[in-house]
Formats: sequence, structure tokens, C-alpha cells
Amino acid sequence: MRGWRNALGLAAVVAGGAVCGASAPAQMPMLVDLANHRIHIDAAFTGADLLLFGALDQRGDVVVRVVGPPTDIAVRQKINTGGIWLNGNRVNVGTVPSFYSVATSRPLDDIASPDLRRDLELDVRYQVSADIPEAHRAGFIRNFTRRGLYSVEQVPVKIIGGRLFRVTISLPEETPPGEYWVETLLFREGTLTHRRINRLLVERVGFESFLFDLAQERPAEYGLLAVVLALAMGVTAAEVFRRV
Amino acid sequence: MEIYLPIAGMPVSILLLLGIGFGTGILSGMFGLGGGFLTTPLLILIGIPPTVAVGSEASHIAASSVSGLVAHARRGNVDLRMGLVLLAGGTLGAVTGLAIFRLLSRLGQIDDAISLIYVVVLGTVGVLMGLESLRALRRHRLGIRYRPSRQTLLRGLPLRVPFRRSGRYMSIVPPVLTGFVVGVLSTIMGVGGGFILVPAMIYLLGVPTQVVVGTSLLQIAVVTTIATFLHAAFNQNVDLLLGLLLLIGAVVGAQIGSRLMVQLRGEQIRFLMAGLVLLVVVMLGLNLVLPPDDPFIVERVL
Repeated sequence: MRGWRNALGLAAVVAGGAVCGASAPAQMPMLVDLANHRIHIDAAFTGADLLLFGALDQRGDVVVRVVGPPTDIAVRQKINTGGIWLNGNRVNVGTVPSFYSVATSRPLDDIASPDLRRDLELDVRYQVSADIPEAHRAGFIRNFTRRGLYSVEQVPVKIIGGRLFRVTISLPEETPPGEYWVETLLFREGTLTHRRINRLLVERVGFESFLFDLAQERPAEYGLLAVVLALAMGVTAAEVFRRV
Repeated sequence: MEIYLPIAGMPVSILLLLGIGFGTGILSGMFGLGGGFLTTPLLILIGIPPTVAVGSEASHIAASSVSGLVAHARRGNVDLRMGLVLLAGGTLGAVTGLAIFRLLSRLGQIDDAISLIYVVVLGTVGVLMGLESLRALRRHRLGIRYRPSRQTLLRGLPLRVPFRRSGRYMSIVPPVLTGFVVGVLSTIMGVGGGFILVPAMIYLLGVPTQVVVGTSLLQIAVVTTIATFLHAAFNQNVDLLLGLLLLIGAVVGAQIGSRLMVQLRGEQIRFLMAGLVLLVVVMLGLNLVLPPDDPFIVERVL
């Protein structure tokens, strides 16, 4: 998350400069909105599509970055121990985004210079501390990518007629609940000219949310509920089938 | 049709869960066992985190064994004193099992440990049961009648009490120890432990067959109820929705299973069951022995 904050700070400076220097302040260079500002995880949740759309005042390149709530992660390497694959020592990765996806209207190399790309820390590798062994770091990113939690440049931003754009970012079935930052960057001739941030809330709702919160926050009560339910179900089943 | 399991944190097909409950319910109705030793590995094989599989299965077994217990208690097939003595050990075993479970979780070895314990315990039980049933099948072919010895080697132990319903006068040490061992395994493996408890009661404690199932269900019902509470309270790994779906499938399956294959003899049933147990062992064993697709695994730090 450290990298993410740096990028925000830098982007704010760049964007601020661009806005101050703009000759037509009345006209916004870019408008952005999300089709949904809340995504609900309910009993039927199997993943969701996040639709972002916007408009440009003139042609440019658009990069959209979605960053999920921070989480603390550790990685273990499975080691063959006497013929059996057992977990090796734990390596703390530290705090990383629980979801990270970058979508671009053109390949990132064509949009921004290498220096700018590095400063913006768009690549997911910048989100993960380099202080851990490279194999573990790569293993972690591979794991999250496989689960659909991380992706870079696999999603295209579609620009229509040079003015309108839209992108659909898919959130996987194990999408972590929490507050997401959706950052839209506008590039012109290789420099960052504008930046917008939208908030997205992913939350558990309904019975799912009730059970999850109870299990996490009041485990003893949840345990009692589990026991009472199990006993009630057992006795009910015995009664139901007594006559069968 | 999929349903999102709140504690497992993933969507799973409802039909698949009902089917697993139904399938193991049929088998448990046929064999008179809880079926947790099949359900938990199947849940792990379809991708449920092993700790959640164990915790949720405890709630499923608690419910299904209570239902069996009620039926047996009505017919008077429960030796209450024997059950309470088993439970003295079983309760202690459940608490010990939870402590081991938490220690292994802290060491980051719980997932592999669950698979490993399954392979060792089920492998041993499967091989013993298979050999015993083969011997019995051969005896049957040769027309030899076999009576299990009621004489146990535990005569000299202290604290002898009468177990009237079982018609035994013996030390409470063997049943307490049996209950303890089953309680430990039950909590770590997410099973009732009938596959160990029933043979132990017949061959080790000499409990008559007609009260074995009812009495073992008393121990199983109470131990898995305690285990459910302990898992929920300390590990937060009990998914009630998962347990509920399994149970719905299982109660229907068990009723059908108990009416099926009554024409099979005991040793034939045991032979089939040994095959089934060894199949599960091979599937879990392969996961431990084959090189993983990706050697790096990720865990959340709480």
C-alpha cells in the first residue's frame, strides 16, 4: 500500500499542475462514473462485473486502476519432506492490496514513458514488498493472479469515437469485502494530465452477512447457535422419519 | 445453482453439497456409521478449506447423530452409564483435540496435518477391516462359525463398576481411554469416530451388539456438539450453511440407505466399506505425495 500512496501523491501533483495550467477550466477534461457504487455479496454471489464509463473532451489514453482494501499476507513454500509435500517456513509478505487490477486503452508501454510508469507504480509488482525472497514474491503474485484477485493490462479500456470510454472489470467469486479505490488516469502524449478517483463499496448483505459477522465478532454466541441448530435439526429429523 | 458459503468464503453448487450429503447419508444408513470420514475428505477435494470442512462437518455429525440417538434411545438401546464413562474421556479428548488443532494452525501445518492424519487413521482402519472381512468371507465359504471372544485382556484394572445394560462388570479405565482417543480424533478430523468406536466397543470392551450403536451415538452426539462449539468459538471455522445443506441431503440418504442392501451379510458390507475407505485414503494420499501445481501457498495474517 506504500507504493499506492506514493502514486496517489504524485498523481495529485501532476494532475493539479495540469488543471492549473488548463486554458478552459470550465470544461472538465474527463468525466468518470461507476455503474454501481456498491456491490453486494449475498447467497447468490459468484463474482461481479464492475462497469466504469466516462467521457473525454479530446482524444487521449485512459488507464483505470482498481485497488481493493489492504490485507496482511504470508507465503509458504511447499517442501518435499520425506516424500510428502509439507509447508515450509512462513514468509511475511506484509500489507498488500487484496484486489488489484489495471485496465488500459492501449499497451501501457505506448501510453507512458518507463520513468512515468515506474513513478505511478502501475505494475502489480510495485504493490508487493521487494524485501522478501523473489521466489516467494512471484509465488504470491502468481497465486493471487490465478484466483482472479490480481491482473495487469489484461483488461482493455474501450474508447468509442475518441470521446467516450468504458471498461468492465470482473471481480472474482472470492472478492474481499471492503472499500475499493477506482482511479482513472488520463494521458496525453505520454504525460499524465488528469486523474479521477471513485469509491466502490463491496459488502456482505443479508443472511450471509449476519452469519459472517456473528461468527467473527461473537464466536461464542455463534457456537451456541450452531449447537442449538444442530440439536434441533437432529431431533426434527428423528421425529420426521419416525413414522416413515 | 450455486450458493455463497459465508464462512468458507466461496460459492459452491447446492446440488453438489446435497449430493455429497445424500451419498454419504446412504452409506451411513447402510453401514450404521456417521459418514464424516467420507464427507470431510470429499469437501476438501472439492476445494473447501480443510479447517472449514472439519468445523462444519462437526455440526453436521452432531445433528445426524442426535437424530440417530433419539431413535435408539426410544428402543432402549443405550447403556447410559457406559455412555457417560466414554464421555468423561471423550470430553477431555475433544478439548485436547482442539488444542492440537490450534497448535497445528499456528504452525501453519493444519491443512497437511488433516490430510496426513486421515491417510494414517483411515488407512489403518481400512486395511484391518478389509483383512478381517476377507477372513470372515473365507470362513463363511468354508462353513466355519465364528464367535468373537467376549473375554478381554483388561481384567486386572482398578475402578470396576457394573454396566447393567451391557451386562458387564469392568474397570472404567478402558472406556475412558477409548472415549478420549476417539474424542481427540473426532475434533481434529471432523468425524464422529464411529468407525473406531464401534469396533473398539465390540472387541475391546465387549459391549453387546444391540447396545453398541445407540451407546456410541451418545458419545458421538455429545463429543461432536462440544467440538462444534469449540471450533466455532476458537477457530471460527464452522459454516452453518454448509452443515445445513449436508444434513438435508444426509437425513434423506440415511433413511434410504438403512432400507437398502439388508440382504447383504455383515462381512460383505465391511468388505465394501474397507474398499471405500481405502479409495479415500488413496485420493488424499496422492494430494500429499504428488508435487503441487504451484509450491507457493498464501495465507492471510490475522
